[in-house]
Amino acid sequence: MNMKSSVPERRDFPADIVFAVLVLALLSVIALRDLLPAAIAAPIQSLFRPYVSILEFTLVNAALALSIYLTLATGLLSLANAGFMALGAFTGALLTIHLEWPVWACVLAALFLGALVGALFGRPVLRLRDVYLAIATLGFGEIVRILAINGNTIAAFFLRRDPAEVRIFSGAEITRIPPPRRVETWHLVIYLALVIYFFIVLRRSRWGRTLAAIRQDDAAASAMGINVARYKTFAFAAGAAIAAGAGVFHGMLVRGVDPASYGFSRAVDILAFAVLGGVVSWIGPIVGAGILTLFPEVLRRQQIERFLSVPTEIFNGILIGVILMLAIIYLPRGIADPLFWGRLFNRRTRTVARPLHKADPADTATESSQPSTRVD
Amino acid sequence: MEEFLQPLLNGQQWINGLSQGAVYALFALGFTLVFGILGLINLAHGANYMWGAYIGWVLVTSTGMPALVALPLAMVASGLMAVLLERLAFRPLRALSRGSSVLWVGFIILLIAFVMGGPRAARLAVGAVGILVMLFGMVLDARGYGPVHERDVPHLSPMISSLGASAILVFLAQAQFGAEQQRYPFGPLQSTRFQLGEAASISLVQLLILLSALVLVVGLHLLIQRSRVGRAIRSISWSERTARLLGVDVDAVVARTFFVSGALAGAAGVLIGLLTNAIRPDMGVGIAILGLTAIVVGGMGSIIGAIVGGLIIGLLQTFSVAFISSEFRDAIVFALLLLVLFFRPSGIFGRSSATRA
Repeated sequence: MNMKSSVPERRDFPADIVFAVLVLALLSVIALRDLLPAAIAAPIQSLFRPYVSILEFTLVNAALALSIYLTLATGLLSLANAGFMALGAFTGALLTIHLEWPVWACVLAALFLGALVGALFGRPVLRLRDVYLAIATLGFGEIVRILAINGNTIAAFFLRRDPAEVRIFSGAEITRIPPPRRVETWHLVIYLALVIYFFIVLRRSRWGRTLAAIRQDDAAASAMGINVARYKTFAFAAGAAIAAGAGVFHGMLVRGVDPASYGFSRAVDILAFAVLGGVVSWIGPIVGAGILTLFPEVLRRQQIERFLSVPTEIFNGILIGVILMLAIIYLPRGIADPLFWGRLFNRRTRTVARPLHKADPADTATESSQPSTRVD
Repeated sequence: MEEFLQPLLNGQQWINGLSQGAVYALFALGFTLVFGILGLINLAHGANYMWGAYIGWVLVTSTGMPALVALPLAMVASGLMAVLLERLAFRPLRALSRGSSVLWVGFIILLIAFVMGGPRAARLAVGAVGILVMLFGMVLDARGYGPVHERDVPHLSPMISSLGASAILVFLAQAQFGAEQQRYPFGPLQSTRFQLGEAASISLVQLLILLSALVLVVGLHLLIQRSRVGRAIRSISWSERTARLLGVDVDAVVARTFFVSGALAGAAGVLIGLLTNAIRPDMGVGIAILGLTAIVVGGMGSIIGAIVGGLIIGLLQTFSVAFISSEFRDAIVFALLLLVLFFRPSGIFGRSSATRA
């Protein structure tokens, strides 16, 4: 059922590309301020200086939100992206500290490693019903943490050396990345632009249409001869790679990789970005990441803690949880959904909002009583 | 070789593993009940368990009541918490009613009362308003006020909203009890040990865990197989639509299932608190992975599978500490999860539908 919306909508106005150009133009002005002539750069510099740091985190979060978007839009719930972010952050930090690799080389390595681990890890799990993916990915971040903390022991085993000699990882301590500052704003802008470019190309490609078909109904897609597991693995691995790349930047921005900071609550944050923005198109996750990164910052600058009896981090955590739940209940297509704004401002053109990856409740009920249904 | 297998012959390891596994089994039963009836994973189950542990801790430390009295009280409290969770996170995704929206408004007012500064009286007053609004929302729902929009949300939505609920509960616990670990009082439950044979002994708390797990499992079996509610639960898990057509009040049955599931999580929380003497706000995440592994190993939706799976995980953990090292015990459980997903995704008891809740 729901055949109508499985056909990609024909659009006369390439809204996504216009949006991308506008956002990137604005960001480039801020990001390239160092390269501009001093006369032009100075006012821009002073105007944006207080916001540079928060802008950089917004950009990293936008990339993270896009990393989970691809899996969500394929109808998969992956909670592993915080773990892949940690994977990237460790890769970047260790390559920088021990081998003095430049940033882009670290990012490339992280992208490759993320895709590889994502494919190896996703392949067995994705052959099954997608509820298993959420289960299996829930523990992934924990595994990365355990491996990082015990990294020296493992490395010693493979290098056949005495564990006491190996000093590659910092154990449970924060892996500090020494100065100088290695990541500039324009690095992040370029990374985000590349990710967006990937999504624009993907959406119009055969692979993108195949993923859309799987999202609509993976049984039907499978019946059409699509190797569903392969495409799901692709989506999962691509998301993993994007998250790992963003992790490199995140580690460099905070100048240290703390194994404890990529846990459950980070996974919820990343999911909240994408869900609040919606997974109708790639614009949603970026909008969601922007709102959820800037909003706590605005509150902080308004000195919200004066009105609170709990620490600000706890307040932010509760807020993100509430926003995540309210978004999924009241804005199932996300806040960046054109239909939502259309309905808000023009009540006459009320259209039924179709959820994206829908499932008939009756089908879910019967399917779920056969937990072993393989999709391929 | 004989030396290598030594830990397997150690009865003490078996006792430790089984009592740990009994707690996991109780926890996994709650997961599997909700999965059986709704076909989805309640990712806030771990947070529910953590709150059960803290409620038990507050009862034991502040009122000084014996653990045996605190256990059922904490079970009821975390069962009610699970019912509220279902109303906030799951029911609005099945059908959105005015009552649910009012309930949400009340919940947000309650949260504001919790986080806001100012005099205690003002916070209590705001909190009271929030609770009243929530009650009003429930009354509206009970009386069937206003239109109810049956919904057809993406099937991932309930899992995502339960994840949000889990985050809220974890942060609330952090604010209330602090992020650091709290200790259950060490008492006769832990210090009394009974000698079994030469090398093994069982502590009173381990005995309590095994006994209460047995009682709860038998009770659950009777509830599912013999009672009217149990019949309704089984019919819904077979086909929600058919059950509804045949006059089963699905919402009421789902609420009761969540109560039972939350009570089991609360029992597991108090028992693990008594066993390990330590509870933390983030303890729910780790056990959620263990519990999910247990139900995948046992077969999703199967009650006997959850019990067997939980015991297997407990034993596996204990023996991996004995054979390898404690650092990798979670990684080994995770490897088991991946192996089972790969080679036998239906789990041990996955095929036979008779054992399903």
